[in-house]
Parts: sequence; C-alpha cells; structure tokens
Amino acid sequence: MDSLSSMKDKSLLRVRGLHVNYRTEAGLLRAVNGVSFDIERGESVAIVGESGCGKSSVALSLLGLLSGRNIAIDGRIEFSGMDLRTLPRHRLQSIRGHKIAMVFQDPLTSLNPYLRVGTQISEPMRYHLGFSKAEARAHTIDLLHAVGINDPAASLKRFPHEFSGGMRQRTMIAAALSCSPDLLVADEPTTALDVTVQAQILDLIRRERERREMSLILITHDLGVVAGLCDRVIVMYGGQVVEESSAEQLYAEACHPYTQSLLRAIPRYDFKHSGPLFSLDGQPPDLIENLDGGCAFEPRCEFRKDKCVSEVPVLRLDSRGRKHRCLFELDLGTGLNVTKCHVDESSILKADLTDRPDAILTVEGLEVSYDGSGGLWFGRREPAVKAVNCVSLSLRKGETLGLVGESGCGKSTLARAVVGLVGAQAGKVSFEGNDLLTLSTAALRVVRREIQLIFQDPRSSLNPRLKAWELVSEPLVNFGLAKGAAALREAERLMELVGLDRSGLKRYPHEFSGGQCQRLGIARALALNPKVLICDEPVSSLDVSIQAQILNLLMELQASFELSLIFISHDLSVVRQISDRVAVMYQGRIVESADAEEIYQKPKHPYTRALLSAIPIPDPTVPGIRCQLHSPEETAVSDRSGDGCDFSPRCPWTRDRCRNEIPILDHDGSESQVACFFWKQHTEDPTRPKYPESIAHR
Amino acid sequence: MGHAPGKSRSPFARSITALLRNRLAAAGLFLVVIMSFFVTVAPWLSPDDPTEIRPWLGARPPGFQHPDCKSENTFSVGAQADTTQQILEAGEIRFAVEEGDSVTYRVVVRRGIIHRIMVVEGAVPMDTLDLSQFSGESYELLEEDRIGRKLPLVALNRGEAPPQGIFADGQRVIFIRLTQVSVPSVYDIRIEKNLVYSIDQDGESIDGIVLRGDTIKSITTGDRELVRFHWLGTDELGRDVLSRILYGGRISMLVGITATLVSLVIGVCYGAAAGYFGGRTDRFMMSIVDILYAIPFMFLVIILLVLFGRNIIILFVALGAVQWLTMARIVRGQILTLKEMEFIDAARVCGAQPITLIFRHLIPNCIGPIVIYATLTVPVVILEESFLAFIGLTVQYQGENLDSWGALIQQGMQALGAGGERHWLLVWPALAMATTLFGFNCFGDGLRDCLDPKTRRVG
Repeated sequence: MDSLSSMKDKSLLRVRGLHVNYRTEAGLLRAVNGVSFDIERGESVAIVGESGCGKSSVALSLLGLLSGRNIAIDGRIEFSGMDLRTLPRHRLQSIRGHKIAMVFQDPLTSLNPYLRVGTQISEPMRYHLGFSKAEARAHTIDLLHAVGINDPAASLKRFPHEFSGGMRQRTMIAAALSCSPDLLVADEPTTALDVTVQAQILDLIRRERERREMSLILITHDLGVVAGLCDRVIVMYGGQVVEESSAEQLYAEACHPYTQSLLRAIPRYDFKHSGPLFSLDGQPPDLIENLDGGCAFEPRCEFRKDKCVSEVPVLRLDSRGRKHRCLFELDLGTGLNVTKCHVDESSILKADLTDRPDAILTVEGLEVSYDGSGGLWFGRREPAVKAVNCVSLSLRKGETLGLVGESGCGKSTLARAVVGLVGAQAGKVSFEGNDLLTLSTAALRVVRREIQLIFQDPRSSLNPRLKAWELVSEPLVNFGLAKGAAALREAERLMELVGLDRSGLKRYPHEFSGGQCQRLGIARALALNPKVLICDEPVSSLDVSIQAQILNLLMELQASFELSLIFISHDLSVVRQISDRVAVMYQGRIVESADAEEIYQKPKHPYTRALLSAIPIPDPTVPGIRCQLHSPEETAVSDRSGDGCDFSPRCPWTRDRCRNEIPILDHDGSESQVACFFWKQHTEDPTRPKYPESIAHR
Repeated sequence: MGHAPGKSRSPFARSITALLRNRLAAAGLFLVVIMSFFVTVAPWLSPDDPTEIRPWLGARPPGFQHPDCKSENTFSVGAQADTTQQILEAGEIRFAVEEGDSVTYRVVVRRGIIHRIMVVEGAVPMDTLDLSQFSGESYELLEEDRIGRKLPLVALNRGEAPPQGIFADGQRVIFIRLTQVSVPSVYDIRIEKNLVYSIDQDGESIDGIVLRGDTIKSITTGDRELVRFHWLGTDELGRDVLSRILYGGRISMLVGITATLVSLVIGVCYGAAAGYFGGRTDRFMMSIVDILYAIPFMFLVIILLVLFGRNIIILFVALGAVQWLTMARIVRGQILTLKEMEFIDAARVCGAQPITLIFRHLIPNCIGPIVIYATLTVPVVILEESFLAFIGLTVQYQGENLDSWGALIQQGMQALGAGGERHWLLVWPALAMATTLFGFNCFGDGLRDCLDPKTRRVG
C-alpha cells in the first residue's frame, strides 16, 4: 500500500493503454493504438513524431477534448490518482485549465477574437480560483509581465488581432499559467512562429517551468526544439510508442531505427552534408488499414529482417536499459557522428571569381509595395506598404541562391514579383537580356515559360478538381504544346521524372500525401523545361523525413537539367544543404549576401547571426547560445519610424548612426555583401564577446 | 502509394456519396425527384384535361364520380360522332338521360299574408304558385344553393295566408326550388369506326340527337359503366383538381427552375468577373448590385408584368433578374478567397489566361455554394410566382392563363366558402406546393451540410 501511494505521489499522470479511434468515411482510423506512459511531478517530457502519428490525439484526449459520436476512446488516464475518463463533467472542468493547462499550436485561432486579452487570461482565475475582478486583474498584469509583454496594464485592454504571433503565443502561455497548473500540455507551441520568436518562446516555457516546478508535455515534430527543453522523449510512430528514453540517451544512442532516421533526416545548419541528404523513404502507415501482423515501421526500415514481417514487436526494456519497440537490439548511434566540420577559411577565399558563370537572372533595385485599402467612393487610401525595398540580386546559371528571412520579410513577394504575379513599382528584373517588368503581357507570358515557381503549400497549390495528369500537363496545354493523349503521355513522363508512379495519373490531389503533392508541383514546374526554378518554401509544410526526399529530388533535377534555383526558406538549416550562395532578407531589404559556407561560418550582419543562433540544434550536447533579439512587437513604434537601419530597434549593438542612416550593402572585395556599418567591429574585435553575454543561456 | 487502393473518386463523386448519406438531404432529393417526375409526366398521368369545364357539376369533393362524357355529345346517323374517345371506341352504348328542369321562386309574407311571389330568374312577379303543377318535388333553398327541407306540394296565392308547412315559425322570406321531373329516356347508340350506325330513343329509331352532359345519368356499354373519377374532386367549374394540380406544378416548377437558371448565368458571370478583376472594378460592380438591392423588386416585377403583359418569358426574366443579385455576391465572395489561393498563382505561372483561370480553376471550385444557393433559390422563385398569381397576376402564354399552384391556391381561397366546405380546392394545391418547397429546402440545406467542409462532421 505504501509503495502504491508513494508511486502515486511520484507520478502525476499515468496513461495506460490509450486507444483513440476515429470513424471516417474510409473506415476506422486507429490514431492512437495502446499508448502508455507516466509523467512525474516536475518532469518535462516530449512526445515526438511525424504528422499523423497520433501525438495530438494523445494530447487532446488527456484534457478530455476529444468527444463526439465519431470518436471512440479507450484506456485509463489517471491524473493525481483520479481517472479523468470516468470523472463527471463538472469535476473534469475543474481540473481542466486549473490543474492541467494547454497551449495550442496556432495562437491566432485559439484566442477568441472578440474578447479582450485581459478577459481571456483572467477568465480561468475567476472561474477556478474564485478571484474577484480586481484580484484577477492584478494577477493578470503580473502574468503578462512574467511572459515578457511590455506595458501589461495597457495590453489588458487590447484585442488578439493587435498582437503579433509571438505576443499571442505569450498571451496563451500566460492564460495557461494563470492557475499555476501542475501539468502544462504544449501542442506544437512554436511551429507557427519564426525561428527567433521560437527561441524566445521556448526560453519562456523553460523558465516558467523551472520557476513553478510544473510538469510539461511538449508535443512536437521538431527534435531540435526538444533538445534543450525536455528530460525525457517519447517517440511515436503509427499511433504507438516506439521508443522512450531520456533526452541525452536518445540523442546519443537512439535504438529504434525510426528515431535514428528522424535524427538523421534533420538538416543541421552547423555542418553541410556531402552528397544527398539522408531520407526516410516511403510514407507513414495508413492507420485506416488494419495493422496486420509485423512491425509498423517494417516497410520503411533499412534494417528489416524476415522476422519483422511476421512478429509484432512490443515495447520492452532491452539489456542496456533502453525502452523501445524493436525486435532487435540495434546499435545505431545517432548517425550524427559527423562532427562539426571546420571548413578551412582558405577554401572560402579560394573561390575564384573569374570562373563563375554569367548571371541568368538579375534583379536590380526592385521595389514592390502593396496598396492600402480604401478608395473609389469614399475614404482615403491608406499608405502603401513596401514589401520589397530596393532589392538587387543575381542568379548564375546552374547555381542555387538561398533566400532566407523571417515571415513577412518580403521574400515571397520578391519571388512573385520576379515571375510577374505581383507588379513592381520600380527596378529591373532582367532575364536573358529582357527586362521582365517592361514586357507586354503577351511577351511576358512567353518568357515566363523559362521561369517557374514551386509553391509552399503543396496541397493548396493544386486545383482540387483536376486530376494529376491534367495538373501536370496544364502548362503544356496552356501554351498549346500538347493536348489530349499527348498531354497524358507527357504527364506520365514528368511524373516518372519526379518519382511518382504512373498509377497516380488519374487520381485527384487529395488522394496524394503532402510529399507526393509537392512532387506533382515540381513535375508541373518542369513541364515547360524552364531555366530558372524559384522554390518558395517548398519543404516548410512537410515532415522532416519527406523534406529530405524533396530536397534530394530538387538537387538531382538541378544537376540533370542544369537548372538555376532560387530557394526561399525561413529554415537556415535547409538552405545550407542546398544553396551555393545565400541572401538574408529583413523587412524588404537584403541585409547580407555571401557564399553559403561563408555565411554559416562567418556571419557578418547581426541579424544573420541572431538567426543562426536561434536555430534549435537537435543535440543536447551542443551548447546552445541564444542571441536574444528584441522581438519587433516589443519595440516602441517611435523607434522604428525614421530613416535608420530597419534592424536597429532589434539589434543588440545599435548605435546612434544606425538610427539615423540607412546602411547600404557593402562589398568587402569578395562576393559577400553586408548592410551594416559596424559588422567589422562585431566580428573582428576580439575584446567583444561573440554574442552579447547578458543573453547567452545554458 | 500511401493511400488505400481502389477506384479514384472525384470531389464530385465524394459529394454525391456524402449527400446520399445525409438523411435530410436524401429525403429532400426524393421529394423533389418525385414531384418533378409527377409534373413532368402530367399529360400521361393526368386523368383529365385540366381546362375542361363542366359547369353542371360544380365543386364536388374528392372521390366524386360522374358519367364520363363531354358537355355536349352530338350523334347523327352516318356522321362522325362528337364525343369522348372512350364512347367512340365502345361500339354499342346506352345513355340513360333524364331531362329535368327546376325553377326557383321567392315568396315573402307580410303581416301573416303572402305579400309577393316572384320567379328569381328574371324577377317575374306572379299571383299564384302551384307547387304540384309539374308533378315534381319542391325544396326550400338555403344559402349558397344548398337544398333544405322538402316542402308539401300545395298552392300559394298572393294576398292569402300561406298554407301550413311552407314557412317555419317567424320566417318571412323563403326560396323554393321546384323541380320539374321529366320522363327518363334511354338512348342506345351503335358506333362503328367512329361513325354513328344507329340511334334508338326508347326503342324508336331517330336520326340525330344532342345529349347534354348535365342530363346524362349513366353511360353503359355491355355491363360496364363509363364513369369519370375525380380523386381530388372538382372545382366550381367542374374541372378535375388533380389534373389542375399536376399541370399547375409544371408551370410553378418551370418558372422556378428557369428563373433560377437565369439568375445562375447572370449571377455567376457577374460575380466571377467582379471577384476576378477585383479592386476598382469589383467595387464599382458591387456598388451596382447594392443599388439594385435597394429597389423594391416585387413592385418592379409587377410593373413589368403590367406594362409588357403577363407573358411567361417576361416573368422568367423579371424573377431571374431579382435573384441574381445574391448569387453574384456569393460567387464574388468565393472567387475573392479562391483567387488568393496558391493554385491560382500556380496556374498563372503556368501561363493560364484569364478565361482559363475563371472557367477551369475558379468557378469549378465554388460549384458547391453555387449549387446550394441555386437549390435554395428554386423554392423562393416558386413562392414569388405564387405571390404574383395570388394577387391576380397569373402568367399567360399566348393570351391563355397558365394556372400555377399560386393561382390554384388563390382560386381555392375564393371558392372556399364561409364554412370552408370546399376545402379540397385549397388544401390539395397548397399541400402539393408545400411538399415541393419542403423538398427543395431540405435538399438545399442537406447539400450545404455535405458540400461545405466547415460544417462537415469529423470523419
């Protein structure tokens, strides 16, 4: 009895044999298939897996948020000794938001747009703790202060839409923390955020967790996020736990082949892979089909043996104290035994400027602004917003130019302006001697055949009412190059090129997985044999394992068709793997551009350095250095208006000159350019710490 | 491939499956299909010509039957007979005819003596009324031509006290119907190949006869009696109510569907153009819609119908012209959101021209809301047309009234009677219309549920 009660004291949450089934049109979808785990008081655990592995279903069922006649839940969920599944509704409600709190992925949709921020944060306190209005208000101000929102008292009165994404997520966290919960469930809390903001939010969660001695369940697909935050990691695959171990052990010696593949598939910004990226082939299992005997991961596993097909592995402790669901005791290491490679600087400088091929596409002084609303009948037009501000770029034949920046920095607008989807106000886009901006619509249409665009969201970029072959051959039909049976043949050839089976020709986009949809998009872009391919965040909505497949495909195609690529991404690690040169954009301007190796080894602009330092590294042994920027919303508006450097309000090294003068891209003699007055001081002054000391962590 | 094997299903096919699974929508669809089927096959299904008038019948309740003949059946030996097809084909046929007549008198007493006697038709005053004169029967006639007490066959003289049994206590005025009974006669007629071969009146051969429908008591051929059965009764002109409902439904449905198609074409093109071009064009085009919305359109339709005649084509255009406004708004809103989607940009990069964009990429993707709204427009138009018919603006085609359900309901209302005794004239057309409207509305709502992903249930 004693042992039992002490066990109960120790573990805050016990989940036993959790099953979640969804009844769908196609059949029973077994989203969660017998998951069991414990969370101890004060422990922080990550649940990791690709999309569709059931991790969100686990989180939602913990809070009793899954209900409805199409959902069947089975199993025990014990929280502080109470079975949450059999608890009456009112008691469950008194636990929800009070003892267990949740932070959702999308801070925009999880806040009620019609309620003031203050009301939403204080609501759980008034409901659960019985606070008076004044008490709740005082407490809310404290909370907002704790999560790092400037001027909390004024923020109470504001509405969610007045906040940026990062501030909204802070607000959500404040609301979740309001009743000092014992357990915080964070479902992909930073996935929708920029990398610099992500670093801040993770830091906030870590700090608050330690301060309140709260347990944390972090649900994420990003093993990088986990590394610095969690004690223990649960890896899920196909609705089952496939591996469970401490964070250090997992990163050091992952034993399930799936975990190991996940770790290997993550591109790392701190070294460049030689050759194609490791990619996990195949697709996650379709949970609608009955899982007939054998290991769920068997079809994708590179170590599979005959036994894997027939025997179902169970979660077990192996002889070395690792808990995993594999029939074998594989000793795989992490696959990350590539140590941080030190490119010798001479190789960078050696790059000969003369043997570089000519530029195929050049952009000079491009300006794109969006009109404000209003006009025609009444009201004034609001001032235009400059999305792209005096940008110059050149893309050489056969090279890949990476374009990096946070959301809203204008990188997508730049891509759209180059292909003529949005009009430019000033500047020049030259392609093979033609200025695209001055061409007539008809002439532009012909030139456009040479420049194709690949879109971010593979699903929404495919018309859902057209079949695959119609989609892929559409450019040919539009230009009158093929029709009917010829178009079908052409589509077959293109689909083969991007590694899609011809059986998919007559299928609709919704019948393809995300990665396959992106392959369709690439096939369509290749239909006209373009010379330039602009990829606008082509992998950012894909799972890590699929991401590597697509990147490899792009690199292969580039080599075989001598394509010139502009690769746009917010993910510096991905850009590093594919790019020859990299340009960093900030608020519509390019702040730094250089050879890829150089930019990752020797970043010059403070913004670039901040971006690099904010990337979570999937390795707890790498000391994380967090360069904390002021996030844009925290800077007073007055700081930003004016003629100075756009980055000055967030820059840790801002000086007077930065506030009064706009820096221009400065050639330092080589190919690299940087728009900062003081970069030399920052990088070369040995007395200065590499990053401001005050904000370095861990 | 990661998906389950099997036949590839288009978004359209998936919607149909979802629709049939939605009980409400399936029920609505069933009703709509049934009603449409009935009104479509009306000419084959309907037992009667809805315009055939039999004034002698008057309004009769459902289930009424009478000898099946025309209002005048002409037979003359050696010539073609003018009668119903059924009689022509019968060969040998026997008509039982009773030619009777009836006269209505008005008798007034004042201070205990008969003050005035008068034939109601023509207001002819008389001094003496002998009720036994025709060896017929006499009845008191009540309001609305109902037959009351049977009266004794006595004589009434002006200036004398009325005989016993005529006036009730305190009654001052009485209407008396005196029926004149004639001897029934039987006509045996032989018809061969549409030509009359012989006519026998009570066994005597005659050359020709005109038999009035109101005098024929029965028609028999062999041992079979020829009767016309009225499932839903007849109206005050003796027209078959069921036939009128079926034919009226054709008009209502035709108006509903055609006006919806008119609004669909105008609304979709206008809305798609406004949404696609956007900006200034959009604001201008939608301002026009707003202005048109401000016009009380029912009045406009009424004025149009009055000015240009109640032609059915005008009605289609007029009703369609009212409905397209909402359709234009819906389509424009959809196009505005769709236009921002990446696949439109993707198509543009692939060199798609505006026409391709609109008709291949944009409109097919807002087909859901369009279909839903169109389905919900049909009942609205049917209702509006009924309203017009109800206020007397019945549609006409080539000068002939086309009685839609609205018109039937209006006529039913007027013929209903103070106590609602001729209820079938109102109830059945109203029920037919209500069923159809209910069907369309259910179908539309069900469609919305299964085509609109936002309201779709999990799974």
